[in-house]
Amino acid sequence: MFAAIHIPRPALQALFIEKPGMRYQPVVVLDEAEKTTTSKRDRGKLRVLEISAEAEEFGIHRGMTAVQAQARCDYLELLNRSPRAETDLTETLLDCAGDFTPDFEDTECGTCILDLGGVAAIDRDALRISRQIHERISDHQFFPRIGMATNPDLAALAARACRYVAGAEEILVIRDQDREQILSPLPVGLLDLTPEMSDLFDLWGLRNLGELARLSRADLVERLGAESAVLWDQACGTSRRLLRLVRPVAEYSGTIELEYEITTTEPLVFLLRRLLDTIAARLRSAWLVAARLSLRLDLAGGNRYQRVFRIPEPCADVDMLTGMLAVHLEDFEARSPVTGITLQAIPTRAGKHQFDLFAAGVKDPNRLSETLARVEALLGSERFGVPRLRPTHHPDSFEMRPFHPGKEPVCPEDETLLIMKQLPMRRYRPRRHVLVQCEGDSTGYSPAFNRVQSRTQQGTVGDSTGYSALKKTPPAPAQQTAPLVILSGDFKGRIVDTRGPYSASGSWWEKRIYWRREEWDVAHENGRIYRLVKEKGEWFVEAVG
Amino acid sequence: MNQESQSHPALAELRQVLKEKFATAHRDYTPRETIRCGVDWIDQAGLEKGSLCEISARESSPAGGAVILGRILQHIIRERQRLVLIDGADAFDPAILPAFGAVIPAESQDAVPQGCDLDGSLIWARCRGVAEAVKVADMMLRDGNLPRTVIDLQNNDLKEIRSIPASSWLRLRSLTEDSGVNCLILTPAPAINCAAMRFEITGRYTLDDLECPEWIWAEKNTGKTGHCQRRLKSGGKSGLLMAG
Repeated sequence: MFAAIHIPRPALQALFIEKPGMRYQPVVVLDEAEKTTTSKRDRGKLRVLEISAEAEEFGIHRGMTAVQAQARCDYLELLNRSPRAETDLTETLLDCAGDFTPDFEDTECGTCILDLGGVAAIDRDALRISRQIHERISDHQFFPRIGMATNPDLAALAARACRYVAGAEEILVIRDQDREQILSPLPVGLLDLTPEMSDLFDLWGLRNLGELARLSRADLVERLGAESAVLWDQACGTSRRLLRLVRPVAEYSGTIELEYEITTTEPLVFLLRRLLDTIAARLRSAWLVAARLSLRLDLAGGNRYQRVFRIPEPCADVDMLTGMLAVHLEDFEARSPVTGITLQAIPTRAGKHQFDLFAAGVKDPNRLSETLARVEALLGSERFGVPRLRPTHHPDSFEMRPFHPGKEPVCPEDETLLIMKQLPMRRYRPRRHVLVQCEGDSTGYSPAFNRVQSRTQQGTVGDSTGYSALKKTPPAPAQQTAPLVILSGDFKGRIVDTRGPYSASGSWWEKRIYWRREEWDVAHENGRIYRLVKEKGEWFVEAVG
Repeated sequence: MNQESQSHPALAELRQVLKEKFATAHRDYTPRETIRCGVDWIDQAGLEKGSLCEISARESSPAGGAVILGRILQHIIRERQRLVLIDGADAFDPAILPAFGAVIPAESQDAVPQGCDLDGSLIWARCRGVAEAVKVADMMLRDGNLPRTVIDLQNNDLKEIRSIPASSWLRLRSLTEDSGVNCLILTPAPAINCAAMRFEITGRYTLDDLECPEWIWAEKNTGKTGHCQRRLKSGGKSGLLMAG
């Protein structure tokens, strides 16, 4: 059994809730939303959308212009539509429908159809339930009409036809055995006709549903197309279709407002687990998984801490999700105690993907994510991740980016990106400060080293920050002297060979970040190669090879 | 690797006697699947999956280890694999490969450096000592999701490496065997007794090598296979398979 709730003139009834004083006055609703700035002249041309019963008595009908309507009734009230009031009306209607059955359709503004199959039988309960629905809607100051029938479209037709059936008033129940008798005299205008179709039926002399039903369905379809078949079925009361059910938006969140303050991690994790138990159960019942978790901690003093956790492999596993939150909270320090917790899961459908035969998949991305979070907590985010060189020629300038377990590794198409351009060296971070004796310094060391040779690309290389092109400058001045011996630190000893100097500078346009350096590659007597750097008169060992 | 037959006849005879006397301790050794790491001479020796290998650079320049690391990275990126680099002294230079450069839009082709998006290929853990590196390695090997790990301790002090208890290395080895993760440890000198395989780098570099093309110094960076041990879980006991 299906029940249809129909609120006639929904735009008008919605406005009457806001302006109850106008309920018994001649009022029309114009086809224009409120707060729309239309000139007085243009407003007169607006069409009438809905008319109150009092206005109908003056011969005002739908489709007239505002000026025509006012000509018939000089104290007629012209109102604009209120989308907000109409939305409130629809929500009220759906709320009431939800009280009777979980399966209902929001058919159009002011009409909804309820599937009462399994809840009530038409022969036994139709009138009783209709009255209950009517009372429920009337409580909200609306004047509904209720139709009951064995199919949705017939129920909707019954709701609209109440005023045409003697004795029905506001509730009409159409049983299968009475269907033909009730439908036949009803005007054809009760069907949802297009203006063209309405004119055509008028031309054919079709006045009521009985006359329409007596036509051959096949002939009608042949002449007017498939949509006429729907009208014919509705006129016969035999239309069958599925309802487009309204499903409320599910919320996968939980909040705990604490009467006591939490100062340690353990009880916080315990409460989070409780919230997760509920959220995960809701997710599982809807065949969903959590893609992200949003955690909000309300702190004493009005502060808040908020963080969103991305779950690499979306799931609804409470242990995994709790573990992820616990790892994060291990290193979390709040300035004040926690007084409230809100946890929200952003749901998604469980992923189904085919693994790439040649790519290295991760067995358990969630576990990996947890491990990565642990390592990051140990080392710090600036010491863990994927290195990415900055677009500058300043040596050892890079940033650490987060590693994405879900991201498939890629191989660059350009093979030259995988060629080591120079013998790789190992860096000292931070670089080691040393004292260096250079050629020409008064130390007594003889210059027993080879003459300085230039690298092929010797010269100054400008910084390309901001992706600017390289700036070549003349070779380093000849007065620069080669280092002879390292006098301090772990690198103490004689230098037996040198290459350099290689001068570089950058960011010359800003004094604060301007840099200039002189590099020397030196062969130490211990057999190692070091990269010495002279900056602002100080020497540093930067790398070893 | 069946190198038992190549050893001295007397040694083979002694092994045979021991095998008969302690049969349970000498179960047949079935070699595991081998994987490639991108360094030819190591691949020829056969790197077993789920093994802990030590590459020491006692006779090599520090750059030797860096060259090995560079070759492994090239191989990993080409094969679209993932690598964990646990850097004991924070000595790795990302400028080793242009691929780590910033990704620059196509319209700015004249600008350098230009790289590619390697966010899914490498994780670099910049540790502040051997103890921290071992701790990170423990976590990553226990996780077992990323099948290749390199622990680079070549710039760490040998004393510091040797101060790590043998049980810690043994635990790492056990984890590699359980999880099937391949773990290479680069050390300045042999220091990990329980390593399943040990390699020695012999390449020494001079200033002239700095400007040579890659193939010249890569060729110089040859090495030799030290020793191999049976895996711990092959019969419950560890034993020497081949000594060299």
